[in-house]
Amino acid sequence: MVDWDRLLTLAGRAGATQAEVYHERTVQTQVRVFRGRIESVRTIDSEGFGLRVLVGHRVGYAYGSPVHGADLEAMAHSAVAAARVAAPDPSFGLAEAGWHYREPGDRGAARIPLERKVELALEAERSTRAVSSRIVGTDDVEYLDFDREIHIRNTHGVDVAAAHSQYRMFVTAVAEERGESQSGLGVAYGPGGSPGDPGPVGEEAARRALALLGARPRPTTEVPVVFDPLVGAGLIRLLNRTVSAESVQRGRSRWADRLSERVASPLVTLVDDGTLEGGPVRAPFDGEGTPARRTVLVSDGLLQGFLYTAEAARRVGAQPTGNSHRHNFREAPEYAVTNFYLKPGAYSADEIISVTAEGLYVQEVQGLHMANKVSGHFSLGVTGRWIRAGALAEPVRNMTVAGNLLDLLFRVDMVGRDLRFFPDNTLSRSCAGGPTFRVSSLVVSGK
Amino acid sequence: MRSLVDPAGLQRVVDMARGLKVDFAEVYAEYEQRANVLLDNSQVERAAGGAEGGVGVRMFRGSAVAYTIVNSLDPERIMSAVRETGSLLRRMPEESTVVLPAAGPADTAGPPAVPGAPSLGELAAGLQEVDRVTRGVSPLVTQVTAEGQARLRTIWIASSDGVLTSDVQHYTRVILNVVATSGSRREANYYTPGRAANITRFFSLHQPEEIGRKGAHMALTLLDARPAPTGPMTVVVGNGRGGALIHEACVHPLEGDFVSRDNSVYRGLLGAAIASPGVTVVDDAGAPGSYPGTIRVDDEGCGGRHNVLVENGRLVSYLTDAVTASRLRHRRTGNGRRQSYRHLPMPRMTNTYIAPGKWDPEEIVRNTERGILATHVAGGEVNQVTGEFVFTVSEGYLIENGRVTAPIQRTTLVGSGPEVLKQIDMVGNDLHLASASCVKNGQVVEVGVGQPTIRVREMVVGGTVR
Repeated sequence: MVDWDRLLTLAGRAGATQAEVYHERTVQTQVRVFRGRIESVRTIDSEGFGLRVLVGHRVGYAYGSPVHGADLEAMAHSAVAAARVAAPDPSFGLAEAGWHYREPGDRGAARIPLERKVELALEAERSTRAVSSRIVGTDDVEYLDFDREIHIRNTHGVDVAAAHSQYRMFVTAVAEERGESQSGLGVAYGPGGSPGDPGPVGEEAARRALALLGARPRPTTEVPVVFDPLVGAGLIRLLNRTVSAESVQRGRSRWADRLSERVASPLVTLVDDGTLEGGPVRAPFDGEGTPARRTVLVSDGLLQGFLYTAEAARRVGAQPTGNSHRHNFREAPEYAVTNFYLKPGAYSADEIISVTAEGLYVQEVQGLHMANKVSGHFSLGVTGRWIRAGALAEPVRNMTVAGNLLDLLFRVDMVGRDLRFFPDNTLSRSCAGGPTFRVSSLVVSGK
Repeated sequence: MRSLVDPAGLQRVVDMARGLKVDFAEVYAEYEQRANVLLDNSQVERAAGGAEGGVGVRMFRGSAVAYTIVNSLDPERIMSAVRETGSLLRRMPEESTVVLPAAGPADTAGPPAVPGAPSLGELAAGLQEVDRVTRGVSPLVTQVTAEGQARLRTIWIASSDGVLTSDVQHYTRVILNVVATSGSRREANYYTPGRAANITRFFSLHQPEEIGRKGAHMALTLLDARPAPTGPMTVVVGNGRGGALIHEACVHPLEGDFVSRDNSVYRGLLGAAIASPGVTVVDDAGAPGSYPGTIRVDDEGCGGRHNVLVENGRLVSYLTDAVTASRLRHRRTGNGRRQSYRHLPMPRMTNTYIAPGKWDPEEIVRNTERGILATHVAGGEVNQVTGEFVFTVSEGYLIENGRVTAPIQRTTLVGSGPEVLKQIDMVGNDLHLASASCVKNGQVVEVGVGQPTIRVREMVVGGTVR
């Protein structure tokens, strides 16, 4: 049992002028299978606290897992000691809009028996292999679910609690033909108490792997490029710092001073929505207790605003947008996007391909995490299918696509309606999503 | 510290687990203390510390593994986790028995006293110095952010295959982000040195002067960088961080879990030539210099060792943990690592490098008519099934007529591992190691990467200029 008042009192006694306690409990199960057998079952029941204190205008942070009295006192002293190392800044502080919120949640994941979770993972593997005899194996077939409870309380009257339950399934299918292998990924997620049919996840992984068999590089050229949702989501994610008010304030965003100006083609609308029904990130409040909300960053290509943590908001007298998050209790809250996506448009993926005379359809990329988020420059290894006369043609590999993401946004000339999100197996508080979209031209390098 | 964590206590837990009639039982206890400082605009903006203890109980029967995690070192909770894991395992289908190869002699030294937590003040002072040096290099350096991370991990491991050991592991890293501005041109770059060392030792191995100068230099160089060329080119990969190439192209697919699932592009190739004859690749937990992969024992209690993986171009060994060593009937190589007690171990690298050859690095450049010199590699990625990999050059130059000429913008190189390894045609004599963070299946471990300067006859360069 968390003794809130005690921890907040101890913080005060240790020298804090303001304090915030973040308490998190996550019960998680992860089942991995391989070749029809269980490879591993991992269960975690993890509980921890983060204590953030202000000593005047200095912030310090300490974390720990429960639970003896001595530990709480040590945490309080540790947090205050950390604050004394930090420099003061009048913008530092805690969420101030005192409000109470309770969302009990249903512990859905705990209600599903382990045997059922194992069966779902095994079924996903079976369904991927059933698609074709050229699917020779799998990698990373996983069923994972969690029940997570978060409670935040601070000395300004914030007292919020919510629970969230989710399952996720992952399948990597391995296809082989004529001595050459390719892989493909399938991802699914949903409420923890009602896992979906594993068939489609497995089938998707198989289809993606099969589509790439026989891939070869092509000569270097400049063509329209169509990004599938998995890749598109990865590119959108690279914009997370550009839309951060904190980055703007530190001179690290190229969209600084460009409110109301055109930063992308009229087909681009970029949204961050912590309240999105069906989004993988679900929390009614952020990591400081600020209510979650939907913020439109770019509307029909025109810059509308930025995302603010409480601190960035305080600096300029703006409203926080609920974008201060922690991935777990060991971290102090920091800027993060929530469900961050390109708003879907009018076309199906097939329609976009059918009007492309010649181009590249990108199904997989490597090197996203090394793009330069300040300048927008990216250079990626790509695998996918060539597009010829409006149809998907031969698979290609060992090619690169390079350019500048912020310039690329001006050349988005078709946006699909197939918006999807792709959470991974770490329980991150951010997830990007994308529909299929086309860029009118990029340099594609190969032979 | 906690009554469980003495050898007799751990052994009791393992014996109790054994009594549940499983093929293998292991208790991994960990206490980790952290210090984090973020310096921005020369001010300490954030200081954070914390400590956490927990235990992972791992058991298996046949090929099924059950893993229960408890974030407490309380003996009662651990015993109950052991019982729970046993009962979890009983619900899994019967499998044939598994016998694990031995980890080595038990180390029954008493548990070390847990040292004091890393000091926020010391970390902040080191960062302030780095910041001062970085800004002092040039007025064109307009922004500096320096983050320091220090961790102290104390582990105790006992298992039914005779392991009984403990260890204290230090790690410190600085992440230096620099923005340089000249007129309307603004460029950013970063440098992230790390060592398996405490804060004091880290700053003696990486003087603030060195960190600051290098970080500033990497950003300033980009101010003059022209767009990178594109298409197939010869690539001279510099020493140190250039080792990211071998990490991705060669060693990830040699990790035993991919091999045992038949999902590695190098499966079934022990004894075969997979690289050119001048290439010898080593994974060495004892490499000098305290690079982040330096470990005395791995996270299953198996002694860290010097493993030759590729010898003169021939594949001679995979990297294994206990489970994959058993599945592959391969010796244990001491590579069973885990991010924390909350994670299952899997085969991971320690310090991985290409052994030095004969060439003088300047001669390698002189012998190259046209190509790219990759001086600093930011990172990479590999698909172990296909062998296709990339790495990103964050400081690079053109080579024209055997001379290093203009700097080029950050660019990514693409290749297929099996092809690229055979395209290494010159191996230099200037071996150097560097640090890197390796992410695999959602788990981060810190490693060393290294090599001498090498030349690859052809890779595809992902620039923008044709």
